[in-house]
Order: sequence, then structure tokens, then C-alpha cells
Amino acid sequence: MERTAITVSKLNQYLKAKFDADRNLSDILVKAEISNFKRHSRGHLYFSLKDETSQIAAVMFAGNAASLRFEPKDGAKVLVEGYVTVYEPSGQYQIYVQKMTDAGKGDLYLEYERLKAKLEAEGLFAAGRKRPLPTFPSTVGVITSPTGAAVRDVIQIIGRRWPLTQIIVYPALVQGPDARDSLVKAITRANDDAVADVLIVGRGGGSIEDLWPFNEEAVARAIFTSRIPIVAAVGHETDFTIADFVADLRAPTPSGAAEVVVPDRRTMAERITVLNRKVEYVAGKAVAASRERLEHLTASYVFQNPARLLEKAQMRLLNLSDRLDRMRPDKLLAERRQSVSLFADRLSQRIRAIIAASGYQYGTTVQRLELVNPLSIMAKGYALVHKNNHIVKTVIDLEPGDRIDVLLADGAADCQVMAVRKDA
Amino acid sequence: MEKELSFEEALKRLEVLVRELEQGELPLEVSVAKYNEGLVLAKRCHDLLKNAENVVVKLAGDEGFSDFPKSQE
Repeated sequence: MERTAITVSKLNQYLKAKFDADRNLSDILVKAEISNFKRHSRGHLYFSLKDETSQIAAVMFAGNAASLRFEPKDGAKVLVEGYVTVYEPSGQYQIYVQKMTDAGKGDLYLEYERLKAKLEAEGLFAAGRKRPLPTFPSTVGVITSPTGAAVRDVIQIIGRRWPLTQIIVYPALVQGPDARDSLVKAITRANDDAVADVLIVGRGGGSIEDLWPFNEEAVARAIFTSRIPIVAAVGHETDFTIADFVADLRAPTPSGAAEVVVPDRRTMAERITVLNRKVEYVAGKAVAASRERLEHLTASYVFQNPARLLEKAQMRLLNLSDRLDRMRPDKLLAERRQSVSLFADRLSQRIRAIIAASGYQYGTTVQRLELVNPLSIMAKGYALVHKNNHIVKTVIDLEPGDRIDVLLADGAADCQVMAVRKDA
Repeated sequence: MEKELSFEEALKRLEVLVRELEQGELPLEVSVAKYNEGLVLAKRCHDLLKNAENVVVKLAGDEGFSDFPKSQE
């Protein structure tokens, strides 16, 4: 079978016919977000419509655009009506928008603006009434769905960062018609329990309708009257809910709230280590300073030579005791005695000196005396004659028969005169 | 020092100690006493952090608190 080639134009023509024949594509209603918005000089609008995973090219001709009641822009959530067909020159299919309304700025938006203005005027958002969060909460209350990803994230993050705390989950519906009352009840319950030091109120991300309970006045007032500080954690980045404005702190997500309500154990461990080092350093410095002072003092001369401290007193004491000592009676006596003996010595010395000086004279005198000593003469054989105790010098004095004593050197003889003869 | 000192109390006390020590006008024996106390406090804090078990999770129900179901996945 022989195949026939067709042109691109024929192909696109064919495809366009297919699109146009589909009744589902001829009148559609699409909920989407605007991106790549461009306004053409002739008034046509070119943009993309997208959701999280997909997008489609869109065009709105000036005639239709003239009836828009809002200013379309990137990020705007919109509801569009129109049809889909193929633009043959480019082979692209796109949506031809006939009507477009701002889905984000519907009745809900107006209600949001009204409530926000009212509560702001009442002072519910005042910065001055925001309470500080406890640094080390012993219990964290979490008001959210007990089955959602949000509660799991919070538990996991707090468990990792600061397991010293306790978590109490206060279950609440976080979307749907009953969510408002459920949230209010949970906030009231947590305050009645008065166990938690801080509350996280929130949910994961969702559409503006899903998040709507957090824009309810009753929820805002429950947050405002809570005695326990509240961190709002409604998962969305761009818009704020009323709850975010009233809460003491706003976190972009439940995970973010978990990060701010508890400290991080590693950071804290480092802080403790730093403090520990500071204690060691500062106390060490104090000890060193004291040691230095001590060394300085002990190095001074009084410590090096403690006796000097007493020197002066000791000298005085010695002086006094010396003087006292000298007054002791026995000492005085001894002194006198000494001076007496000194005198005696000097006297005897003097005498000896005198004697010595007169020694020679004495000697010669004695010698001369010796010469005349009758006894020494008698030692030569001479004798003395005594009569009636008188020395007889001449025979004239003697008569025969007289009794005389003849004295010799070594004794005496008793004699009688026999005869007397006178020499001529 | 009481054994029941919480992390927060121990940390606060430790910070006070450091401030007092840093002012440096304490008698030596007081400095040494504060130093010793500081070491005990720092150890207490470290122990609390090191020995912390898994975080306790309770579910507030109509009948008071019960254990939060371990896995909701």
C-alpha cells in the first residue's frame, strides 16, 4: 500500500477540525493562575493559565478584555470561560478566553478585607500586644489535624531539635464548614488545660478556600484571647491569613513554626561549651591574678626575710634587756668584786714592782748584813763568850771559876773559867 | 545543687556565674566556688542534651491525654 505525504498545513487544518468538533472544548470553565501575562498594544491579552503541574497558552482579545472588572496580573487566581482550538500557523492549541473573573477576589476576598480592617482597628494586630515566646518551652501544644503531614513535620522537627520538650496535639479540623468551631474549641481547650507554654495553630498548604477557617473572626478572637502565646502556621507563602496577623508570631509553614518554638540542641550545646570555657578562662584568670598578687607579696623583703619584720623591736628589746642585765645585783657585785680584785692586782703589781725595784738594794744590804752576821763568822770557827748574858770582850771581865757560855755556830757549851791569862 | 535543675534553670545560673566571674571583683575562694559550680552546671546541661530521649507526644482527647499514635503515615 502506497503512503501519501501531506503538508503541515493540512495536518494542522485537520487537527483544528478535530478540536472544533469536540463539544467539550467549545465551552469550558477553567480555574487557574495567570502567568507570563502580556498586554498587546492593540489591547489583546496573552498569557498562560496554570496550576501546580500543567499550563496552557491563553489569549483574550481586546473586545472581551474591555469588559474585565479587575486588573489581571501574574499570580492572580482566575476563573475563565472560553473555548480551545488550534492556532494553525504555529500548530499550537490554546484557550480563547471570553470571560474572566478574579477567583481570589470574590466574596471571600471582600470579607477578608472587611474583617482585617475591623480587627486591625480594634487593635488585635497591634505589635505591642505580641508576646515573646518562651525560649525553652517544656510543653508545646499543636493545634492541627492529627492525621495530616503538618503534625508529623512538627513532631519530627521538635524531636530532632529539642527533645527536652513535650508535645501535646490538640486535634482540630483545619478545613471545611466545621473547622472554625473546631479550631476555636481546641484553642480554648489548650488554655483550659494550661499545660502548654506555647501553641502552634496551623495546617499545611492549600487553596484560599481550604485556608479559609484561618480567616474566620471567631478563630481570630480565640487566638487574641489565648493566654498562651500562639504561633500561626498556615502553609502558604504569598498571602497572610487573619490568624497570621493576630498571632504572636507568624511562621510560613508548620515546619517553620516547629523551628521557632524550640531551640536547637546542637546550637545550645555549643553555647554551653562556650560558657564552660568562659567559666574556666575567667576563673583561671582570677586564680592567676590572685597567685600573681600572692607571689608579689611573698617576694617582698619581709617575706623573704621575716626576721627583719622583728628586727627593730628585737634590737630595742636586746638593748633594754642588756641594760636591765647590767643592773642585776649579782652582776653588780661581781663587777665590784672585779674592780676590787683589779685594784688588788694593781696593788700587788705595784708592790711587786716596788719590791723588784728595791730588790738589788735589798740584796746588797743582806750581803752586807751577812758580813757582819756573828753567826756567819762563827761558822768560820769563831766563838762568842757570854757571861751573865753579856758578851765578854776582854779577859779583864773574867775571873777563874766564872761560869760562861761559849756559843759556837751550831750550839753552845756551858763552861767554867780555869785560869785567866792576859796577853801583853 | 538540686538534681532537678532544668536545662533552662541551669543555663540561666551558668550565665549569671559567667557574668559575675567576668566582673572579676570576687574574692578568690568565691571565684573558685563559682568555677566549680559552673563546671557542674555545664555538665548538667550537656547531660540533659545528650541523654534526651525521643520527644514525648500526647494526644489531647475527651478523656484527657493519651499517647500520640506512633505513626500516622
